Amino acid sequence: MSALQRISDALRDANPIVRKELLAALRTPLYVRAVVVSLVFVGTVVALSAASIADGREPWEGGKTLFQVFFGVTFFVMVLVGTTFGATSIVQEREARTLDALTLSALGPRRVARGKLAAVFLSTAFIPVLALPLLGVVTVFGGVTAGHLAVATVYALVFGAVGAAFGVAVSASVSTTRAAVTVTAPPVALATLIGGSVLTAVGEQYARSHALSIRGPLFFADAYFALPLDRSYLLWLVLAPLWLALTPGTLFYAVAHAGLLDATQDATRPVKRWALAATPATLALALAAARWTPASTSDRVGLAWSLTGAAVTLATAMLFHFAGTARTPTRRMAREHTGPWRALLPAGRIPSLRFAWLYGALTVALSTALFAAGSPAMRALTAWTAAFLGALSGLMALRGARDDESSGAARLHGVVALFVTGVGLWLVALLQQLGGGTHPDLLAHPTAPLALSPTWALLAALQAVRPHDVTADTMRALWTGAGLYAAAALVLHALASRRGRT
Amino acid sequence: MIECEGLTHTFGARTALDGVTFTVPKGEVFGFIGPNGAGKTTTIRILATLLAPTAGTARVGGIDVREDPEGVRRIVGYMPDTAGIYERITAAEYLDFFASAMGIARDARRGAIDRAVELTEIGALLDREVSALSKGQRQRLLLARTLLHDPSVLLLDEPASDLDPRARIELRQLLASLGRMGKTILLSSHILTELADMCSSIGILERGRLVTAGPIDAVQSALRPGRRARVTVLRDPARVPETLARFTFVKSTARLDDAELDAHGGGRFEVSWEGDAWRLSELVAALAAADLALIAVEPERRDLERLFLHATGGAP
Repeated sequence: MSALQRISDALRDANPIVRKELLAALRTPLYVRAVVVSLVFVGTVVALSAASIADGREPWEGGKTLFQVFFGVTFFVMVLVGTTFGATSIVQEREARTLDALTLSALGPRRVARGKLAAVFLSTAFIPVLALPLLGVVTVFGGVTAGHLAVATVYALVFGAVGAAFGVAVSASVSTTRAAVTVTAPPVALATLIGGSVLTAVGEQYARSHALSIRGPLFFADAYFALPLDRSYLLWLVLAPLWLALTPGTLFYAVAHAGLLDATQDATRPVKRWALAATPATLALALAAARWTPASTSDRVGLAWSLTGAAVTLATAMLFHFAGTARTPTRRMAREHTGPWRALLPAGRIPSLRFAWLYGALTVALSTALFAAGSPAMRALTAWTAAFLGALSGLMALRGARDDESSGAARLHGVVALFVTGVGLWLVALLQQLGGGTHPDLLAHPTAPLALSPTWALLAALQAVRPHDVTADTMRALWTGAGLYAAAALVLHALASRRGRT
Repeated sequence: MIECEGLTHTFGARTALDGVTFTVPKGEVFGFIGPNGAGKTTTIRILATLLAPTAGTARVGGIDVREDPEGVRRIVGYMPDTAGIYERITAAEYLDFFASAMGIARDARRGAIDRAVELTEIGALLDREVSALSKGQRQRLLLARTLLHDPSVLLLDEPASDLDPRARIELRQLLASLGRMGKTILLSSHILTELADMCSSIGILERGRLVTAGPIDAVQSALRPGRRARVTVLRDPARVPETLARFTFVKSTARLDDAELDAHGGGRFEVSWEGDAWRLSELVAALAAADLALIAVEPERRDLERLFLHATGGAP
């Protein structure tokens, strides 16, 4: 047996799905057409750009522009094609009922998810590989080195893989191809648009302050070679990009894995495990950023604020995901939940909802303790957030406490509660305005203590409010709301426990 | 080999299975009969570990489907009713993929594929792309995939649906040889004639409830006590009842409508008697000796359509 044959066999045995998917893809006209169209698109954009910069500029400047154009377009195409392929990868099998045969095989959900992910990534990676000859045009102009090209290629592949993972995660969680494509397209378009804009803005500033030869969104390609190897290099050019790729990538993998588990297994477990691993990593990176780079008190409070927003969003998403799990753990779940994980990762609907609450509350509390312990506003917001999550999880637990109750009831109550608390205050203000009243002071409104947090999370995300802008009225509202929601949380969880027993 | 007790499954407010209890002994070919929506597919999917029962227990080879689904999957081969199949790979690649996915060791894989190919007689199709195979050929390929890991229990959901008559006959022969190999087979169909020659026992399912189950003869005896045969004579039909009345084990003799026979002076009867096939031979001898121009004796033994209609309340 030749060495090549041995390698081929080893790859096939590692995950037979990859080979089968690639074989099928290469024989599918739609896939071939998608690759050809992508290449023509990239080639056309690069050719038009090359023609437009050929006159009146130094060739090396034109080379840098072409470098940005080539990788910008390639990255866009990779993410677009990767997420679309990913979005159809599992759900098409579900629709065609070929997924049953995979479920019954010895592969298991983990290997199926990994195989699908690898196959989608590899079939997407053909695009930049086949587009490599176009780089010849870029290098003709000069201005970029082989190192720049290598770094940009690695980034395109890594974030293309994250896009593919997002598609596969959605594909494992929905029941129709149409739903999968509909769900993936808007977030991907939004993320590409926002991510591109942020990267361009940051790149301009960073390149100017560090005298990098490449500006704009691909500034990092030069940063790897131009900056000194120090803590800042390790933090911003190694750890931060790794975190940026691995955190969402592993979350998407966990969601895909959960979507492939059968009804007797605990589908909440992969996400819980991800949360327990990703949160300390995120906090450690944030700590390193706060210690190794000059950060003002305002910066640290801003960091705590951002982490709080992320934790609340994640905990809320977990609540809605976990509401769909079986009310009573199956015997298999009970058998599989052994060892130290048993207490940390409880199975069943009510314990899982409580896990999401505690996860959110603890993460928010840790973020504040680590970065903004001296800020009274952050302490108040932490208390408010923990109590609010407790009440929300309690309400959802109460509405899904019995075996005969579907997950839909719990989710519906959660949505209504979020809507009322998040939008209610603004609606009251709007009605008062329409009624001819003066512009109301929202934070002094009687409903403010109960309706503040989601509104604040939104404002925080938009960077519209900073903690030092917090007034005495807001502080009072936060602490009053925290007390009310904490009481509600205790009552609702007690009622849910009692209702579940009857 | 297969034991279901109080098996219940609900989809939202709809009860698809309602307390189904039956047993299939080792080596039995068990036919699940019922109209569309009766709960056949739900039962088979529960046994294949693709659905969890809402209540009740199901065991395959002594393994509980909820406790150890992986253990059940190792001994079960499942062929769904409307299975998709990967279109853009060849039949050989398809089987190689599933042999690998089933965890069959590399050195044993070739042998496993060869055995399944030989049994299902798809050797000539191996180099063809799956999308180019006919419905019957795909069905054979699916069955070959189902047999790759040499399961001791086969769960086949409507295996002959949409097949042409020739493919149906071939499939019947194939299942018969699998039965002879000692495999326990549970297959479902809403086409009763399809099962008649293949099954040693049956279960009749209607609206999620099991009406009856057991060996065909036993089910027949329970539902319609006594045996039945149709007798056709071309001469003196009026003498048939008096000829048979001499035998104390004959329970009834009823004339059936047959305009063509009646017009030609003949007649057809349904005879019911207690006892075994030897008693029927005595009746045949008596009818032949009576010089009635006896031309046909058709025992009713495996008339599943009648049994089904009778069991579900639609029988004459």
